[in-house]
Amino acid sequence: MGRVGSGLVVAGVTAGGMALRRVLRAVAPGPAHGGLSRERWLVVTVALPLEEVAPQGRWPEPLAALGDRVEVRVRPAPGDKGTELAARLREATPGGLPGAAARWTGEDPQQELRSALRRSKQLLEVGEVLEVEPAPHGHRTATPGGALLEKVTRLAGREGRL
Amino acid sequence: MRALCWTGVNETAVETVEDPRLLNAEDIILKVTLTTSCGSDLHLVGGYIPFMRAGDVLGHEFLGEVVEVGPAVRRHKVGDRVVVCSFVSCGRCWYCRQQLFSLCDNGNANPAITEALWGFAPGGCFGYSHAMGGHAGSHAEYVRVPYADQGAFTVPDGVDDTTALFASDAAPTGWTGADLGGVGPGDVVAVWGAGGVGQMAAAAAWARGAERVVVVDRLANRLQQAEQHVGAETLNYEECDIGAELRELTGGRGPDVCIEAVGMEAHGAGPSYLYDQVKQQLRLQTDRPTALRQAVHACRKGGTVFVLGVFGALADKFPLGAVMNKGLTLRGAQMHGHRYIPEILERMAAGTLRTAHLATHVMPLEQGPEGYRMFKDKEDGCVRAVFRPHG
Repeated sequence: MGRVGSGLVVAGVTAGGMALRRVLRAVAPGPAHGGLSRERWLVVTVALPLEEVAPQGRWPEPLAALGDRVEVRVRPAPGDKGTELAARLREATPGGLPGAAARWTGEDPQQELRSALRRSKQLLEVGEVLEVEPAPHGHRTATPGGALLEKVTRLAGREGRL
Repeated sequence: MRALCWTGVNETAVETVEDPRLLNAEDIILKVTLTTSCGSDLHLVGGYIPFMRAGDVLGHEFLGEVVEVGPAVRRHKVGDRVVVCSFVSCGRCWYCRQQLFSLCDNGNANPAITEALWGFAPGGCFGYSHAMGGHAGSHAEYVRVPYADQGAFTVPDGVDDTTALFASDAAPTGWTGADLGGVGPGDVVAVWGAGGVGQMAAAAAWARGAERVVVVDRLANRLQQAEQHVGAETLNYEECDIGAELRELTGGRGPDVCIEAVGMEAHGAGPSYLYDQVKQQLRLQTDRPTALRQAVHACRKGGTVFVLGVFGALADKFPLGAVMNKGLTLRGAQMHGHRYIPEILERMAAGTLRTAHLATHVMPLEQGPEGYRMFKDKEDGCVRAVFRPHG
């Protein structure tokens, strides 16, 4: 195994192990709220005052596009850090293996929400969402490590600790 | 266009790739005049940061001429000669507003990777793997620069290209270490590593009023540069006991601020270096903190150790007891270049900051693979291999 391959194994054993625990925690049903199983609130802090984050109670477009599938709330962040923009799915997503499979294939609604929150933050703070692709690149050798990294990269805007 | 690509562990090649194009309204396209290798690239080239894909374009320290501007760009126009900060930062999130630009919330389109590794994602960096945002690098004829009004800086007339090149990364990285390390008047500052970043950290320490600056390395030509161009005292760790020398130099106290400008592939002498090599090669740790350990031990009680070298994930046998019991301040950062580049360019224009000597080997981009080999092997006194994409 080359250094990249073994390096990926190290990453998998170390940070990946911690990440896996977080993933499993995240896909498990949340605590009961009034008898309902709810997802955790996902939150970003936007470096703008509340009235600019939700003018006249309107949510930023990526969140508004999720309609009634999400609850949204805002509150001022302490220390003049802006506004906390929080959202959660009204219906719990599947846990366990089905949930993990949905995350791997990019079909988990939590990923959609995570992406919507990140895009909302960028639109509010910067005015547009940063694009990276297409980026110039040379010949992509087909290797298992490369395929894994491509998959991880495709999910990386929709996954994470948010 | 032609570009220097990473093609596998310790392998690079110059390939023909697509030209970059404007993707966001605040982008510019730069015709790259000069682009330099950096010690931190060696971690990528060697596979120590396993988030490179074959074909990725390397390079994050560069300057060039603006050839295309997006509709929202205000500060730059076609024809401008600009140097670009290696980090991609929006300038408007809370971290950027605190001038912690490398921590930008909006510069990395792949945040999940570093969130899993480190808890939260820093900003993006050109040519520094998909973990740092997947931005194409600058070792190419052209490069796309996002958030150009934030990260591209017009080079003053009278500052030559080779000097200005290092305002992109090496100099502001050094400034980050000395400034956030809290260097002030009367301080004795020790810097581990006499490469471009280490020399610039030493220069920054002088700029902040340090009374004495000592640079530690093993390579005689780099130490000689640190003496001649930066005015630092130097110590060769292969020829002396660094801890004892520093105690002698500092009246038995130890340096007030210790800046580690080496990173995850540190060399060293003695059993701790051997231990680190074995553990890293067996993948039982990702980083060799040999120089960092020495800095922590050497630092005076109540002093500051600044981690400026690039580390990836996990290091073993870290002297936490020394940090706690000596009351040290331990701090680290990628470079907050946007904060320091204006001052650095002013100093370059005034002739009070010298950097051109770092470019020991300037060559056409087509010789990039050979340049990286020389740089990695420190062949022929190579401090930096610098590439000219347009001949």
